[in-house]
Amino acid sequence: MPVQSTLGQVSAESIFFFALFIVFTLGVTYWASKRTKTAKEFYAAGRSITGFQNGLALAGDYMSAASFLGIAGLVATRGYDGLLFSVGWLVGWPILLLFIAEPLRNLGKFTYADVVAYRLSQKPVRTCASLATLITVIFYLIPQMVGGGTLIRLLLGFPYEISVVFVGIVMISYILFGGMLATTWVQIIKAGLLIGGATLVVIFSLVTFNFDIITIFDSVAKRYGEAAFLPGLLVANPLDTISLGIALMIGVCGLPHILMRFYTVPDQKAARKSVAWATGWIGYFYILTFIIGYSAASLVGREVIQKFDRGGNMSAPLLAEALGGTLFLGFLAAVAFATILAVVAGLTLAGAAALAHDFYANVIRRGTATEKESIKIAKLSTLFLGIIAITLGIVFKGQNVAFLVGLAFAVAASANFPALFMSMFWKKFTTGGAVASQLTGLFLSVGLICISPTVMIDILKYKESIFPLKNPGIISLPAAFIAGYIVSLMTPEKRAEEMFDDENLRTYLGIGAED
Amino acid sequence: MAIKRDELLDDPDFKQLKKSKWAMSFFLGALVFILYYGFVLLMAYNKPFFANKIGGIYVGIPIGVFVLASTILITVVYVVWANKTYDDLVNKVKEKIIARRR
Repeated sequence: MPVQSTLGQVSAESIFFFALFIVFTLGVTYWASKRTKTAKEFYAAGRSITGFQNGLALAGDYMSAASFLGIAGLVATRGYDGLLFSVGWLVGWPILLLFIAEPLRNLGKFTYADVVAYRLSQKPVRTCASLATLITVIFYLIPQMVGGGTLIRLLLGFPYEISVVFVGIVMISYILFGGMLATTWVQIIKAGLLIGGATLVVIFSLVTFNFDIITIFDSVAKRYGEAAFLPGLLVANPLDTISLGIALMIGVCGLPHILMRFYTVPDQKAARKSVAWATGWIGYFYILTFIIGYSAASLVGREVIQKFDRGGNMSAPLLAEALGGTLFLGFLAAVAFATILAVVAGLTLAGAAALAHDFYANVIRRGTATEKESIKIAKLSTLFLGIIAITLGIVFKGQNVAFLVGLAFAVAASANFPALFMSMFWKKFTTGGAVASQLTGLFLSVGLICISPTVMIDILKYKESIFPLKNPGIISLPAAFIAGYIVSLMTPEKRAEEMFDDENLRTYLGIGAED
Repeated sequence: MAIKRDELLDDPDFKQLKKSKWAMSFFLGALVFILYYGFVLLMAYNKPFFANKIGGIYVGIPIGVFVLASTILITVVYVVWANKTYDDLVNKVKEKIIARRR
């Protein structure tokens, strides 16, 4: 057993895979740069992505290092709770497919705000939407950057700050030169590597156990007792679990970087296929991480895993090393790095689209900006957001920021989803209603998190918190719907109501949708 | 569009299309909710149940895999339905528009 692991030392194998990935993806970016001239190409890859490809890219956007290393680690160190977690991360996808994906593709151009503002006043609605997008993106980016820096230090031994700056620079180059096309292909390559890598780890462990999966479970039960297979701490407070469940389930339907991906495919048919592919890949991947977690507990042992990282994040790499030596460890470390890069690139592009397309082109310039100007602003925004991401990554070094992902989901579920849903399906939805719904969801979810146990007890070390739940979803999501409903009824908007029938033709049939 | 908008909105096929889409979405959406919250509530309120074994494996594992697999299956069911039934309806309504334009 590798108690003397090479983890955390610079190894030739890791550097090799690492460099290979960077060189290859920058090559893809160069190829993409020649196909990225117009706004449609920059934001939406010229709508040239197929359903299958977009499914992989969606999976790539969604499977962050946190889910790969985190869920495997949770299963390895805490047992069954990890499974509840991964199920929660998957159940939002059918909801996205059933209610959002197709109309979103039919109604919008580049961002989900296109849809919210379809019948309403552009300025107020897009201002709120871009604010909500930026906050979601930044909350999501911080843990990715901090996790990325920590991870690369743990895996490869590079200093934290250098890792963060490096991630930032490579990510910015993808977007700046290759736009959505390069970002999409980076996601696809990363998804393939991640799924392939995880499959290999599982095959290797199954070989070790003579393809008898029951022996894996039995050996874990023998070593750590029945508790490894029973629900544990995560469900100590059922209301909290339900609230988190709501945020995870509906949050997927409001994440700007996920929603933006639907504009890269040509029509609603491809949009729907891509969700089914994504759900299949992500679900398969979660089943793999589950087996990886238990195998790590059995073959590496919880004591060793926690020696490297208390949260158990290193269980997958340690298992890879135990099974396939430094070569396999190096490969997996490079895959984890690719994962972080791809996720931050997707997020930053969504943030840049909100700044340039929603805020600059449609609010400041009221739709009079030329395409060239819009792309220029989008590139400046990318640079700006990239620098913010690097700065925040360094500022939050060593802080416990994992809860920010949960917060990003809560904001996406509360600020973005209700307004999006009502704008597509409720005739009497108005500009006032949209603004009220978005702001209520945004401020309530952020406010409640600030007075929740996560911030008050875990971070600020108070004895008690004002708000009892760790996740605000169960309050902030219904509140955003109610606010949107009441304010819409108070501020009737004739034009918006009249446009609903035309919108309907486009929602269901795609008539008038671009391309 | 040369065809009158109101005519299309009142078209029985268009109404049928909307109705079947919502029926399908709500039915499958309800299934997802029941599956997920059933799983969460089972974990929260009947912990001892998970100490049972089926074929040498603690029941929690097949249950969890079942929830994951059904989630995937629900998306597949919807896509198969939409590719066939829904798209047929969409094409039917669209053809009417083209026919009336002539």
